[in-house]
Amino acid sequence: MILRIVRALAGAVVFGGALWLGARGAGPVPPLGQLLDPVNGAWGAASHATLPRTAAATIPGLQGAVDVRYDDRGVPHIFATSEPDAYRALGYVVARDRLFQLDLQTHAASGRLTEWVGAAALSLDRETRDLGMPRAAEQKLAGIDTTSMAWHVMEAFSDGVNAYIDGMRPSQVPVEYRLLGVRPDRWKPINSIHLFNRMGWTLSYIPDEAARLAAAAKVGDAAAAALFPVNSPIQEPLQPTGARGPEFEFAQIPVPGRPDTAVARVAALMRSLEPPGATPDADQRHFASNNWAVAPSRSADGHALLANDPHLDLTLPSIWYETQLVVPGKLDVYGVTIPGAPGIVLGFNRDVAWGFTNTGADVLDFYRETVDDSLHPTKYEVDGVWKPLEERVEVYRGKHGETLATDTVRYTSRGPLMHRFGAWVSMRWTLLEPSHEISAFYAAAHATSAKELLDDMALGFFVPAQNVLAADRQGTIAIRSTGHFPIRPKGHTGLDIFDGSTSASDWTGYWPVDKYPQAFNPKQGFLASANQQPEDPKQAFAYLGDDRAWDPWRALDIDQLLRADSSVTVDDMRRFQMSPLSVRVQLFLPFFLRAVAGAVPRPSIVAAAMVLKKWDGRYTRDNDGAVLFEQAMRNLRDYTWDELDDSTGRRVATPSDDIMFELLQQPYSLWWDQKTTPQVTETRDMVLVRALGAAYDTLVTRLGPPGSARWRWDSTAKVSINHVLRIKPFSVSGLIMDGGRGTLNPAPGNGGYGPSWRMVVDLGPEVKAWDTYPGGQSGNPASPLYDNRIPQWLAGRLSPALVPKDAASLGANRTTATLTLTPGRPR
Amino acid sequence: MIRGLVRLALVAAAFALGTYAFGWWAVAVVGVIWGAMNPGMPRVAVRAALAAAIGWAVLLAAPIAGGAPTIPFARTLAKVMEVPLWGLVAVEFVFPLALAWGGATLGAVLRGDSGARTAAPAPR
Repeated sequence: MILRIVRALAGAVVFGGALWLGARGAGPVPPLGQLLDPVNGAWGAASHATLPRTAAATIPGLQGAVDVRYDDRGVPHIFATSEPDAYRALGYVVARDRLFQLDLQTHAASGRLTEWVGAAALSLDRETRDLGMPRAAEQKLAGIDTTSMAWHVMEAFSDGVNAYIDGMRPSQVPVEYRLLGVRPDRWKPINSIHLFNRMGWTLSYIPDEAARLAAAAKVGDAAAAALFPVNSPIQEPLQPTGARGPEFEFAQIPVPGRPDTAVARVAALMRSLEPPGATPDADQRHFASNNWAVAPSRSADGHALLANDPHLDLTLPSIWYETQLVVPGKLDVYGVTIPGAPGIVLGFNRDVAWGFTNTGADVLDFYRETVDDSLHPTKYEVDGVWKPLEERVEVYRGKHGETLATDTVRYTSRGPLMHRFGAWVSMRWTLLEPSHEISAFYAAAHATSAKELLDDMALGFFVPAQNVLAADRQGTIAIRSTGHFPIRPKGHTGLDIFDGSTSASDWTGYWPVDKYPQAFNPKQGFLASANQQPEDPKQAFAYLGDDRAWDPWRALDIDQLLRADSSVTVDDMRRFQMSPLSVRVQLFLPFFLRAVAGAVPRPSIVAAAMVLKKWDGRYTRDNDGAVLFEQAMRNLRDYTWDELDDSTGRRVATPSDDIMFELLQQPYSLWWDQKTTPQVTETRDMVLVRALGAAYDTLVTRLGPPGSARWRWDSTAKVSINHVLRIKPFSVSGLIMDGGRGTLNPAPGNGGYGPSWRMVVDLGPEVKAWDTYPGGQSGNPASPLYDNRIPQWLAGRLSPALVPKDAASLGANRTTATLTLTPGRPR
Repeated sequence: MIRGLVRLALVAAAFALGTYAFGWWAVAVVGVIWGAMNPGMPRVAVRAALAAAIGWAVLLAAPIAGGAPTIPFARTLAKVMEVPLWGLVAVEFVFPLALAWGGATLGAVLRGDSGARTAAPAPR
C-alpha cells in the first residue's frame, strides 16, 4: 500500500512537473513542449528549411488564381490578374518567409514587446509610446480614404499575411516563437503604418539640438555654434551648383568660451530625449547610404544608369525582401520591400528605377510648455489661454495578458508632452502627422518617367525625408529631397528650444515642393547623394536642417569617381559601391605628413611617417596604413576636442571631421591646446605629431610592429550581422570586407549600419538590374537561403535580377519552387 | 520476447502518431491510457517511457532521412539554448520519457495497479 502511494506520488510529481515545463516553462526556460516537439516544435525549422517544389494555398477574397514562381535565389515572382491579388500574394509570400520578423517589427513599433518578453522590454515600449508613435499610427489609419487604392492594398496585404497564418501548420511556426514561448499575432492593416513609423523613428528621430546644447554648456554658445554649424564648411550638395568640385568655405572657429551653466540644464534635458544607443561620438555617421545616377551622355552603353546602397542596421533576416509583382497591363515592378510594407520600396519597373538615401532634415522641434500643475498637469497655456491636455492611457501587458504598468501620456496640440528634469516639454515631429507613404509607393510602382516618380513621391511621402533618385529609359536622371520640411517662425532654426506659451513659436507650414532640393538632367551628367547637406546654403529656401550626424566625405568620394569617368559601365557602378578609397584621407593625410616633416624625428614618428607615406590611401583588408591613420584620427579627435570632456573624461559631443578639417586651416587656434599640459600651448602640428606618434606606439603594443600578421585593417574592422533578437548562434560575426570610415563601402565593425542592399540598374530598351543584400530570402535559420548571399555581398559581387514578363518566361531551370494561390473561404 | 518487442513498437507508434497528430501533450495522454490499460504489466511505466523516447526518435529521424538539415540545426539550437549538443539531445528524450513515465505510472495507479512492477509474474 505504502509503495503504491509512493509510486502514485512520484508519478504525479514527475507527470505534473513535465506537464508544467512543457506548457509554461520555468524562468528563462521556454515551454519545453512546443520547443522540443519533434514534429511541431523548433525542429520544424529543419523540416521546413526549403520550400516544397510545389505548393498550393487559398486566400479569402482573392479574385483569381495567382501563380508564384520562386527563382534559384529564393525570389518570388508573383503573377496575378488584379492588383489587389498581387498584394494579397505579397502578404502571403512575405509571411511564408519572414513571419517572425513581421511580427517582431510590429510589436516593437507599437510598443508591445512586453507582451513577448515581459517587463524587460518595458523601457523600450515606454519610449515608443511616450513618443506618441502608436497613437500617430491610429490617427494615420483613421485618415486614410477607405475607397483609395492605398487602403485596398493594405487590406489585401493583410489578407495575404493572415491567410498564411491561418493555414500554417504548427511545424511551420518560426523557431523564434518557440524560443520565446509565444504565438504569431494575426496581421492588421495598421501594422504597415507601424512599420513605416518605425523606419521614420530610425531615420528622422534626430534631436540635433542635443549635441550643440551639450557643447554650449561646456564652451559657450559661439564656439558651439561653430563646432555644430547649420552648414558644412565643405559643400558638395546633391543639387549641383555648377562647380567642378567641392567648395570649401572655412570660417574662424571662436576660441573655447566659458561653460554656460544655464544651458547645461537644458542640455541634460535634451540628452534624455535622445534615442537609445545614441552616442556623443555618433560613430554611425560614417556608415550611411549612397545613391547616384549617370546620364546617357556619360555611360558607356548610352543608357541612364542608377545605383543605390542604403545603409541600415544589418540584421538576419535582412531588413529587405526581394520580389517581383506582375499584373499584365497594369503593374510590373521589381525590387525590395521591407517585410510589412505593402509594396516595393526600392527598385524599378519597365520604365524607371529609383533609390533612396536619408535626407536627415530637421523635422523635430521641442517646446517648453507652461502647465497648470507641475506634477499632474491637465492644461497648458498658449497665448494666455489655458487649453486641456489630451490624455491617453497606455497599458503595458505581459506574456499572459497581465497588466505590467499603466501610464498616462499627455499631448498638446503640438505632440506628446514629456517631463524631463523638472520641465515639461512637448515635441512636434513630422512623423506624428498625417502622411501617405503607402500611396506614394503604390504610385511609384506605376510611374513611367523619373519626373512622374518624383512627383508621386512628393505627393505622399512625407517622413522620413529621403533623397529620392530616379532614372528612366528616356535617359532622364533626377533627384529630389522629398518629405515634409517645416517652415519655422522667421529668424528661428530647428536648433532652438521654442517657447510653447505662444503660437508665434509654431510652424507656419511646409516647404512647397518646388523649393525642395532637387535637380533634373544636370549639365554635369550625373547626380549623387550620400546624406550630405542637400543644397548649397546660398540656394536654400529656408533652414532645412542640421543633420550634423553626417559627414560630406562619401559625397566627395562618389563625385570624384564620377567626374573622373565619362564612360561609366554597369561594372564601374558596382566597383564604385565597393570603393575602398576616401577623399577624407586625401585631405587629412598631407597635414600629418607635413607636421611630421617639421617635427623632431623621434623613432616612432619616423616609423609612423614611413607607414603613411607608403600607404595607398585604401581601406583594403591587408592594409597597414589604414589602421595607423584611423588610430591617429581617433587620437586627434581626443586631443583636440578635450574641452568638450566632462568631469569623468567622457566627451559630451564630438564635432564631425569636416569641422576638424576646418580647424586644420587654423594652425594656432586655442582649440589645439591640450588641457593636460598646462605648461605648454600646443599648435596644430604639435597635436598632429603627438596623435600620430601615440597611435603608432599604441598599435605596436597592441598588434606588434608594422608588417606583423595582426597589423592589418581586417584585424581591426570586422563586420557582424546580428539576428533580429541578437541571438548569437543565429547571427554571423567576424566577417572581413574592404572599406572604412568615410568610404562608400564602410565596414561597420560593430554589427551596426552597413550597405543593406546594393542595386545597379541599366535603363536600356530592356531594363536590366543586378543586386544583392547581406542575408538571404528566408527568415528560417535552418534554411540554406537564410544567409546564402553574405559571401557575395562581402566580395562586392551582384547577381542579375531575373525579371520575367510572365510566369512562363522564368525558365524551368531557374525555377526552384511554385506556389499556386486560389480563392478560399475566410476562417 | 518478440511479443514484448512488438508491443513496445506498437506503443512507440502510438506515441509517435499522437505527437504527429496532436502535438507534444499527446505523450501525456497516451502514457496515461497505456498505464490505465495495463495496470498489471511489469515495468509498465518504464516501457511507456522507452516507447515515447523511441517514438520521438523516429519522428526526428524521418525528416533527416528526407534530407532535412536537422543535425546541423541541432548544433545551432544547442548553442542558442546554451547547452552542449549532448545536453540538448538528452533533454529532447528525457522530456517525453518523463511525461510518459509519469503518465503511465499515474494511469496504472488509478486503475488499481497492485505493484505490478515487481510483484506480477513475468509473462511467458
